Amino acid sequence: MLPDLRILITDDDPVILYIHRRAIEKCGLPDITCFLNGRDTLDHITLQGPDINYLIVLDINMPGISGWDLLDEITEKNHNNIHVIVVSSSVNTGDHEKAKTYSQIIGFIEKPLSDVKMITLMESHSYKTAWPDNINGDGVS
Amino acid sequence: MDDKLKILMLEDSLDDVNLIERELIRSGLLFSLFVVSTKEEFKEAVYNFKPDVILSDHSLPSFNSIEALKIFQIAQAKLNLATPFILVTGAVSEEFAVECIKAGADDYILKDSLKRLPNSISNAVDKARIEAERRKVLDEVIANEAMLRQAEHLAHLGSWQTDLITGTNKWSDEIFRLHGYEPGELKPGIETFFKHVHPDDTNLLTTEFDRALQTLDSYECKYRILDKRGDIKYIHSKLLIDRDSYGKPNKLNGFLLDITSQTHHIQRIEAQNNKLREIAWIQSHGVRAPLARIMGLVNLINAENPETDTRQIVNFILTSVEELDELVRAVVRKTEDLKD
Repeated sequence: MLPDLRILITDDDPVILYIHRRAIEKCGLPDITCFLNGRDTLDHITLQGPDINYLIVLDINMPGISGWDLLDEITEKNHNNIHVIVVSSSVNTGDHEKAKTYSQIIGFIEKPLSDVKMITLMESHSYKTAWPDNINGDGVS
Repeated sequence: MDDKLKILMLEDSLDDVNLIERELIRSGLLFSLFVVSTKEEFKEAVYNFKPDVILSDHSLPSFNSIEALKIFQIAQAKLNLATPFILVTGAVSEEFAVECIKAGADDYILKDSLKRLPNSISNAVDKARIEAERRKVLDEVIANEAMLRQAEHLAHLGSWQTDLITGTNKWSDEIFRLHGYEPGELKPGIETFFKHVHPDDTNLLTTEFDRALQTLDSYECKYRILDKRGDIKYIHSKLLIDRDSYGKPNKLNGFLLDITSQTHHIQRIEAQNNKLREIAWIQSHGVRAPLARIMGLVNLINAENPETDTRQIVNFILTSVEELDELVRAVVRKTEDLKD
């Protein structure tokens, strides 16, 4: 249904970017782009134009544009084909409540993201219909 | 012990003593009589016999009634008593009698009209009893007032009153002291209160005060003042508003409590809480971040993946561990700060 799914990872911590990229690669998702801040992420989306399906693995606490700011902006711009997995060092109830108000958010994960967590999340969510064909539970131990 | 009236008589003539005693017995008065005739005996009796009434002849061989009155008055002041002193004399001039009354005698009776004596005694005793009660009440009031003043001082609590009809203002000593002044150093009044309110609190307090005057029966608030030296003090104020039958305010009763030291305590505790919160934040967020990285990196090594760049991962783990170590040290430092 959504064959051209692109993965964006946004986190101000380069080590986390490395870890998350490797974890997602292990799931067999090839098209991964990393960003160290929210602004670059938004610019990239704008530059690439509409009609592209994105899954953003998004850090919440970042200097400058926070994860929430980025979510607000894509809501405002009506990007319907963007889904978001929120990641945070420490998840508090306030953040959880806030996450429920964004329809784009399909998951809330405490760092670090692992391939197992990623697959579990995708499978439990209706979003898995958008999962490319070459990804399935068999590829993951 | 008994309810006999204790009469001290200063008299050197035995005939006169008998005469007077007979007159008193005839009147039905219950009494015990103690007769003295010298200055020393009189002095001794005033202190030790503790008479309920004194009957004094005017002229005696060794001294006279005016001198006796003086001795008696000193004793009265020392013992805080109001014993009646009645002059019982032979013929004296009108002027002398007036002089005696002025000097503090309660009555004078001529020896040739002793019939008046019982009545005079009972009147004087009644008068003395009332006076004694009045003094007792007054003493209690004074003692209570002194205690209240002491209590206000200890509690740093002052009270004030403003009569809006007459415009009179009353401040207790502590109200002056709260503002850094000696009692009486300022002109009491609402304007004086407002003159000392901290500039940042003036607007709010003025508005609140006007609103309270219009609609409330009591009002409570906290605000800051600048005292005589310009030091900030924290005040807890309570205001009670008396109104007439039309609802118009006519009297204000107020209480001010100096809560500066409590406020400082609270501020110290709040500052400490902030430090604790900072520590808690470092523990939960700061420590969690490098820990999450380490977990993620270890996870990458564990996964069976021959392409894994192990050296890179180990370097990342090392920096994360160092960061974690620095955070734990920061917590230790902050915890030590707290001990101050």
